[in-house]
Amino acid sequence: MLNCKNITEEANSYLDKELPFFTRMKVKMHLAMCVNCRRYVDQLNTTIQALRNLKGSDEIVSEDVVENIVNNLKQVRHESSKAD
Amino acid sequence: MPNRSLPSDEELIPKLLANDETAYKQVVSAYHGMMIYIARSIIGDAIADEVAQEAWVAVIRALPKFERRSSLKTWIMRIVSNTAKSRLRHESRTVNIEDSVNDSGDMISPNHFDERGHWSSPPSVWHADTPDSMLSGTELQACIDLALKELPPLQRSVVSLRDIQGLDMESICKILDVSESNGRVLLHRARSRIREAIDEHQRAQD
Repeated sequence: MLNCKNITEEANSYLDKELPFFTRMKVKMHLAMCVNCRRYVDQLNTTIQALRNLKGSDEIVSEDVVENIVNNLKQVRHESSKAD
Repeated sequence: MPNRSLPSDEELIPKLLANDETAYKQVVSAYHGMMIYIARSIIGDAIADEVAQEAWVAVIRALPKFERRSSLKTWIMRIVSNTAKSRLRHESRTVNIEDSVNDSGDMISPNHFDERGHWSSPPSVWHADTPDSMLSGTELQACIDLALKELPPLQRSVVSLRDIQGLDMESICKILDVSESNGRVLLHRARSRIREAIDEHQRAQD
């Protein structure tokens, strides 16, 4: 039988659906009986969803920045090909 | 990520090696934003741009030796991650970049449990239980942002790339140069720590 501490250790893998079948069943059985662990797992799930809702990298890279980097890289390639 | 129009690696790599300006522009436009994001997650805002630019130079220098064991994108992201990590080691010798993957590894403080492993101090009830209602509060968003900032660098990188950017674990572990099992430990600790930060925030409102 898994105890509550074990459940908190398995909670992430449980939510990511990475647990082997029998461990997953044991976690499910524990959750069916334990309100505190259910709350913990729900909160962890809410945390993951909240992170997923945060803005991803829509980092806008301006054309000027691209231009500067490309010029720098051409220079680097030029120098290293001279050195070869 | 804005790389829909990007040609395949097979097409791009010879062009990059041939110093083709259009190919340079295509990869820089497609990947620079993500590179800044990775650099920032490891080393913070202040020098993320600088690190990303330094990484481009390393990319171009190393390209002739690229063995194509991963995609060009993963390889480039790994270079930016290594550049950021070495800057971090250099700038702050006290930071343990490995984030003590090998320590006891409790996802939650052992004080919450009795000797039989049952809750002695169970989780409190949260006021808003759905992510949408939670995130509508700007205070809570600030709390999550702060918790992310306070995480050790690799934990922050793993959770940002996995949960915020939606990358798969295999790519993340390649990019950050950690084993899959350590990557999972880092992810789990980061999420657990952010759950705790939200919990503290909720308790403070009681």
